[in-house]
Amino acid sequence: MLQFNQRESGLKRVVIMGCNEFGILVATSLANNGHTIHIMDVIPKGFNDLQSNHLESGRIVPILGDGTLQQDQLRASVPDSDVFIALSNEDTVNILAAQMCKILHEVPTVMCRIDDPNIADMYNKLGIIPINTTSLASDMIVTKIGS
Amino acid sequence: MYVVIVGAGKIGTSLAKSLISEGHEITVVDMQSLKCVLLDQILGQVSVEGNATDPRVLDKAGVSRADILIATTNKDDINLATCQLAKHHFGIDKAISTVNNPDRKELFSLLGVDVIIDVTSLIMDHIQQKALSSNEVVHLIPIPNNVNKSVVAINVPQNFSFGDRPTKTFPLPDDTILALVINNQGVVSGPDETTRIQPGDCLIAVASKDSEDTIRDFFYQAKKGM
Repeated sequence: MLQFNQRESGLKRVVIMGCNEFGILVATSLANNGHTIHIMDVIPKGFNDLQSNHLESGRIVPILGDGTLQQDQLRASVPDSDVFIALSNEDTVNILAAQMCKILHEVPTVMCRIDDPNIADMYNKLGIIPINTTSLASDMIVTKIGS
Repeated sequence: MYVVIVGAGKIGTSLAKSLISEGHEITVVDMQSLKCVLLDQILGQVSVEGNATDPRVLDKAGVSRADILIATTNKDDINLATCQLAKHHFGIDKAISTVNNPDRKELFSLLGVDVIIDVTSLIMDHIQQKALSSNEVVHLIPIPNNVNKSVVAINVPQNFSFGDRPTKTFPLPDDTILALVINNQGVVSGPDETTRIQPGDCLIAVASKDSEDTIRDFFYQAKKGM
């Protein structure tokens, strides 16, 4: 089982589900700021696009696994993490993983990508922070046109 | 009753036919138009094509007036999202779901799914019972309202060496209840102080998942004396 390293103050232990473009971008930005990232995906192809300096330093650790399975969440050290971010391409997969982390592992901060604007706010009362990509993009477009 | 079934697969289709023959009203939601078309050919206009995790599709399927929603797809994430949507957005009374990975039963229950059907374990238990004679505790039926307990069968093996002891002296966990003894003549009785368990008997018990190892070790251990 992969362990997070000794924590330095202010820096977070982050687990990201989904090593796609979105996940890689978020992981890299967070790693640039000094946080430690465990990034998981069922397909290893995305791992090739992770920055080698972060991989070598251990700032970003790729984990082949399914974020909706208990045993793989444990392998990624989810129970010891500060932040879980579900960024896969499927809302329902993200929602399942996020709820597992919140309810079963009580991860302090759980963020969940939800593309469908109609269901984005359903999980707020569990304390899950929705990342509603569609609304964010749509708002940005409308704002730009408005100005 | 008005029942909305999600998933026109093997289970969903079978369920649809069953409910119709019992006189209930149904709608079946599936993403694949081919499945919808085929189903409508057999059962008449019952299908709604679309993604059941989209509230607009469930609305079209009439979930707001449904008594029960049953999610039967082979993807647990879709089943869960559908049930949560039906309860949260549409206030449905009863959300029932199959679950493919048994580890998820507890989570589904915590998140408001009213009835959980563990299809994988049902099939495994059935295979164990019918096809394998093994030194295993055989699950017969789950206990309602308790995902961790089942009614089980214990086929007492030939090398069982505690036939001289009353059942209450067996070193079994407190929550294990030995309910019935069926001897090799098929005579069924409730065990009392005079009951002695013999090789060839079948015991029907209620046991929790965690207790099964202890039960198995006791009944199927090869060495004498304990």
